[in-house]
Amino acid sequence: MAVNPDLRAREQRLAADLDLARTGPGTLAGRFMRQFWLPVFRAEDLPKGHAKPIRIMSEDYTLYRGESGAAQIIDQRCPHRGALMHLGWVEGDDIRCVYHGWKFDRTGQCLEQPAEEPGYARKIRTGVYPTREHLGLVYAYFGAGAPPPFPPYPAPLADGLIENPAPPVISCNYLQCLENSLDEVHVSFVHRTGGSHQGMYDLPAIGAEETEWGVLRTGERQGEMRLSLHYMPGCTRVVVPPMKGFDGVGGWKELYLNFVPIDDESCQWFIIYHVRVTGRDAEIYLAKREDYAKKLAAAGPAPDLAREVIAGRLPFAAIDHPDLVRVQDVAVQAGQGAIADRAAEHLGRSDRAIILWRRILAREMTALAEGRPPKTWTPAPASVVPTLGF
Amino acid sequence: MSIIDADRVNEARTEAARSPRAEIDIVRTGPGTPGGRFLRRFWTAIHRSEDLAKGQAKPIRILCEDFTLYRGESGTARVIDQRCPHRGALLHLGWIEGEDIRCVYHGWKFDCTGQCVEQPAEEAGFARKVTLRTYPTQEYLGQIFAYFGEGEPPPFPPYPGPQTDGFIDVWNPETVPCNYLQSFENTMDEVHVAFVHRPGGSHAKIFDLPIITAEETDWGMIRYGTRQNGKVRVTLHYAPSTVRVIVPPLVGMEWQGGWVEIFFNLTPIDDENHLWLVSAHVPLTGATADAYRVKRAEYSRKVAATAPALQVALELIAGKHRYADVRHPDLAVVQDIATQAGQGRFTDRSKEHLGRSDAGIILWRKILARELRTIAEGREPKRWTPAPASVVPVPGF
Repeated sequence: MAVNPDLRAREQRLAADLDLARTGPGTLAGRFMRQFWLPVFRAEDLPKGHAKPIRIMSEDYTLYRGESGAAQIIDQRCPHRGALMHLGWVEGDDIRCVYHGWKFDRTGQCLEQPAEEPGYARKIRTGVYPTREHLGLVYAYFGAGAPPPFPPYPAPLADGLIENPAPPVISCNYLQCLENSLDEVHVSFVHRTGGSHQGMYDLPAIGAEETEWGVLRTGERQGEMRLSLHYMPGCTRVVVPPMKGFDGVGGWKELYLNFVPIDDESCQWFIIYHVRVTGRDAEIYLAKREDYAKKLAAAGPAPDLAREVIAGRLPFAAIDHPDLVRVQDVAVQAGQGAIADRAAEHLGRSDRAIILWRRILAREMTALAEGRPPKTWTPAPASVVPTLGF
Repeated sequence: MSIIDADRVNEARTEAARSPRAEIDIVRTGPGTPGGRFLRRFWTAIHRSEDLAKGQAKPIRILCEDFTLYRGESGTARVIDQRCPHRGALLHLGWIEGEDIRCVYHGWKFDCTGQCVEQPAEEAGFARKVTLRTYPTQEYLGQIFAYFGEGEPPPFPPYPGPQTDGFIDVWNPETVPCNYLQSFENTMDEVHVAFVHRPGGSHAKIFDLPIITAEETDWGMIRYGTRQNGKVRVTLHYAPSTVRVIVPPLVGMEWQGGWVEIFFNLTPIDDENHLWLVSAHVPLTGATADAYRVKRAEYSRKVAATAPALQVALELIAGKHRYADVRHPDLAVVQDIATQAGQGRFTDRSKEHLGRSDAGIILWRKILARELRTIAEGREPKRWTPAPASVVPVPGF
């Protein structure tokens, strides 16, 4: 691709100053992120008739599921006197505020104000945001204008089970978690204890290229090639070993790991696993998963244990947990600080994919800053899939 | 005096919108702020009497300032500075000796006027040069009141007591994590009960929506809720932050004693937290009063065995339960804290869309803005006088 050298130089100068990590409203990174569908909730945690408060990219909203089954997102607060809308009642696909009974429909129009003059309601609106569901997650679009195509990325091609573990809240900026997923070398060290990634201890040479949908990353080991996909703006699709507590049952799984900012200093991981089991194998797997869930409940949340490791109260090598890999990852990534100090880094060849990702972010943010049209991303073809490579 | 109806409300809103004067901050109450200077002109309810034993000292924070509250051995409650003037030790760590208090750090002893009377390790003659500040206190309807203003305090009691036979039952104090004014505003907003208190049914008798009107008085604001059948509920709002109203019993009382008259004091701890100090008048005597007390003891055991109302309210705010599913012996308190603290530490009044049901709130904000501006500009504020005993709240159904 021919690149205008002036533009490249300007991007490089700007990249040093650009804040890639902060995604609040009005920030360049926030404007970039708001061009995409983002996962916001695990679908099974939102029964019909329930409303929940959510915080995404430093903004608060109310998520509810109407009685038709459709998930809806509206503003956090009632426009009357600021009551929290999630305390209210879901009525059909509408929601009624707990404070004075103002009722809003799914377009945000106020329909009823029981104690007010007739005619006032039609002047009142609340914000609404498009939502969709895919692979067990609720997605929302927070940008201006019409949302991009849905689904944002293809479903797995092979037979098997889809599962969504409870989405953990991680106490650091989303971008360092996403960058970790671009960094295959870490597994040989971070995940050495416990032996989960035994097949991958020899170090790969990392390659990465930009595509129409994100970044395709390669890890080459003695002629074998591991392929991982990074969908814009924050979903990594990769083949991973089973969690320790599964004792190998179900084998390596395909993982879609979505990194979504709650605010600048915390993020949530929305996880989709595709497990290639059917028939009798699926039954064995599901029984094992029940057993695993019990172990997990008894062990406590992985981020809590990671906090103990970060604080130095528990040695890294001494962690024992059914979700060992998760504890190891969180300890390392949240351990970089709430927002990693990228100015103090010394990057090397193994960071090639991270460098490419940052360059894309800087280029796109520069385009937004200068009022030029950003790149039009298109959903990936279903035929491009991650591979294990050994 | 003016009755505020919907037209007047709209007029006032338009006038406020056109006003070239800068908005005055009506929510902050720290020392020196107009709101703080206004509130310090009144007696302030600070603590439930029964929670302060003889010989006990406690730290308290009121209107963004810290104090030491103690009860001398004669039974008198006293408020003094938070810290010893020697080297800043916390005085509530010390010893009560008669009516005096002795600092835990080096034994400096202060009498109830604030005069230092002993300094065991110092030169004789130093003590008489050292004083700390004391604040007038009084007790009334089961609450301790203090005066934090300049000069002589206003008349006491700050408002008249119940006019019928019965006894005072002081509710458990609550610490509510938001500015006091949004909770005081909630008390002026009678329509909320039809929605906020619908689950659990505590206010089932008053679910039809009243038309709200309010007028300023010499002692605060009187507010009317007129129902479709013409009946009127009358509620008194004593300046600066007490509401006197007739309310249903807390759900854990299982209707024992029926509706009660409450004197509900909303006291700022600091700008982002405040206290609810509620004295209920139970209009019962003899055997019915005894039955009430038995139920009250049972209720207290239930409350002790349940998660605190504040905790449940915070869980509701965090989305951990569905509002309609919550059960609690203090359900109305849980519902009110969830709604009011859910507006945020300071509700953003610039984003509101007020209506005719907010007439009481609109009038009170106008009074408050007028008084605070008067104080800020160095003019003489309104002289409030205690309400006559004959003006009482009416349930209106």
